[in-house]
Amino acid sequence: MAETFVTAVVAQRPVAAGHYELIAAHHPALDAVQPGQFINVRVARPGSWDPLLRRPFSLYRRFANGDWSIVYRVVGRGTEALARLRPGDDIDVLGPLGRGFVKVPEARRLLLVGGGVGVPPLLFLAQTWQGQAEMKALLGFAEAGLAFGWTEFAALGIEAEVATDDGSLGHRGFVTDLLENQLNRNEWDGLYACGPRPMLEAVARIACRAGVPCQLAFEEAMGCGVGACLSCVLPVRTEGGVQYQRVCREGPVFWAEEVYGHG
Amino acid sequence: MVDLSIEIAGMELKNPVMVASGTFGYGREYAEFFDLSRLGAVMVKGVSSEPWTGNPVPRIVETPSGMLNAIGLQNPGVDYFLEVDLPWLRGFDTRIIVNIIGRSVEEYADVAARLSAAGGIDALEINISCPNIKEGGIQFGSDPRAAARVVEAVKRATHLPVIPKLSPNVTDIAQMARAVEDAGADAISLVNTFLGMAIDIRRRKPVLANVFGGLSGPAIRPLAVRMVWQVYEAVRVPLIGMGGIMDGADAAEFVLAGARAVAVGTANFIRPTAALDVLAGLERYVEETGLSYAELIGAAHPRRTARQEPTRPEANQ
Ligand SMILES: Cc1cc2nc3c(=O)[nH]c(=O)nc-3n(C[C@H](O)[C@H](O)[C@H](O)COP(=O)(O)OP(=O)(O)OC[C@H]3O[C@@H](n4cnc5c(N)ncnc54)[C@H](O)[C@@H]3O)c2cc1C
Ligand SMILES: Cc1cc2nc3c(=O)[nH]c(=O)nc-3n(C[C@H](O)[C@H](O)[C@H](O)COP(=O)(O)O)c2cc1C
Ligand code: FES
Repeated sequence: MAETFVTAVVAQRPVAAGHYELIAAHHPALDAVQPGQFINVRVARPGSWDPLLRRPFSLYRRFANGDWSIVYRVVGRGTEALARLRPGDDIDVLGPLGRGFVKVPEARRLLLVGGGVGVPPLLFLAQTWQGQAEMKALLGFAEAGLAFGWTEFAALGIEAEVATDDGSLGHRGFVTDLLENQLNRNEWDGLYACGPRPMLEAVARIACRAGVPCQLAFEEAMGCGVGACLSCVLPVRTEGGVQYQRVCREGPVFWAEEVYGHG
Repeated sequence: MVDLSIEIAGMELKNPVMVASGTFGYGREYAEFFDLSRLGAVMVKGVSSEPWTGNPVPRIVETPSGMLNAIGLQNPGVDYFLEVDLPWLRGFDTRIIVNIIGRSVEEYADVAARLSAAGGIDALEINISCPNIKEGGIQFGSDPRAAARVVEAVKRATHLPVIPKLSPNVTDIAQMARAVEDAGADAISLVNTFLGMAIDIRRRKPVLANVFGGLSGPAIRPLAVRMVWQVYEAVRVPLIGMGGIMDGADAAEFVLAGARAVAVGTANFIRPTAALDVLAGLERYVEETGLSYAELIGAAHPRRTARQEPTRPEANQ
């Protein structure tokens, strides 16, 4: 059950150009958080209403002492404000929110596909489901300087292949190239992805063609994060036809065919 | 603890703090955070005769100390509301004010009639910030005659108190208020959001898919307080004030400007328990003044005799 709570920033460290990992102190509200669920973080200083809205982030990992972290890319006022937080500062969190990834019980071999700041929920998935399935991560970035996360996957014993648009690290091209290779060569029975919309659409198409069950985590501009304001909708195929569903409530994770149909 | 209970449009409220339509859904999401029975009233998301799909995304963008929204009044329609949400909401000991929307005078009247027949609803709030399809899509809320026609039609269709909600996107808010009062309004809500827009300078395109959106949050508070002040001087019906209320002090400003009750909107998004914080702050404020709540309504106006607040007998003891 979601709640609002304040906890302390433990550390901040750069993980790539303009990307930081913010580590925050353990709070019981996040003990049962599922991979793919998110938190909504207040970025204004206490007592200030500017910037007004909370900012949604996925959990990145959990530490042995219960501390947890997010990785964020500085892209605007809110993430700039986050980057100014120092160890010991308070961080005001609303969460956990949304519906996370579902683990299909019989699935044994899972492929995780992350693009840019879509990588964090997949690392959290890998950590949470470690030992329950064989996993491999495919990570895509624009260039080497923006890449992060593969050492964290490796530390979990999960191999991570990297693709960069300019070839400055790993495969030159899209992460979906790596995905096509994997699906051609191996049997995978579950696909989990998060990243920019064009990447998700491509992943959905490839998964559908290969007949592999696929879940995607979406982003949409949010007001409340809890389902009350109807800001964050996505057209989803339901029994009653295509309907707007809330990324913050019914999502952020949807089955690929719910959103993109069958191919 | 001070007594903030108050009567408005024939409804006894346990306290004057409501949650504003469209910022609180039908209550379910925030009921996970606190007991809705602690609210004076819940103003539910606008309900229409048939389901409305709403606008494409992006529907929201943050602006300085505020936000623009263009949800497009997405709602599942009156039948669904009556079947699914109303019975659930009735489980709480709070007033249920149903916000109604329509694209024609007849649609407003139709929703009003169907809601009234259902029972268990305490009042209807009329969102007149809807395009009038029959008359070129101009908002009912920007034309005093069109607004009055909607209020009259809804009054005829219901026995419930009728509370038109004024759009602030007019030159003369007092004129609008007088028009809906003359048409039979039992109380007036104000304000709805201010029309605005934001442009993405990198894409060189409007941010919102709908181009325009409604501005809410602290950014609009001084504008909203001013309008409550003006309307208080223009009409006699009680006012429900809203616009950027984040805490008890903000709510007190509205009360002093003339609001008999207040509604918390955008603040819910930042703190799910914002309405309770507003209530606690307002209670503290009233206590500090040593006055009764009723005495504070409109108290900032220089010549209160010009418009006598209908006080309850016990209010001045
Ligand atoms: C469920 C979910 C999980 C996310 N997880 C992460 C993560 O783990 N790491 C990460 O770096 N980013 C993540 N994002 C994106 C992140 O929320 C935005 O980058 C951030 O809100 C930008 O804020 P800003 O003030 O710096 O940028 P600005 O562009 O100045 O923000 C202006 C407004 O737009 C909204 N906005 C901007 N970009 C996005 C976006 N991509 N998605 C949704 N809203 C946006 C902001 O929240 C804010 O309200 C996630 C988004 C969602 C919806
Ligand atoms: C996301 C959002 C949706 C809204 N939807 C409605 C609505 O359906 N009907 C309505 O009368 N007002 C609606 N409003 C207006 C609010 O009820 C309120 O009048 C306005 O936001 C000003 O108050 P605030 O600044 O406290 O939010 C909406 C506001 C927001 C932010
Ligand atoms: S952000 Fe408000 S409904 Fe999703």
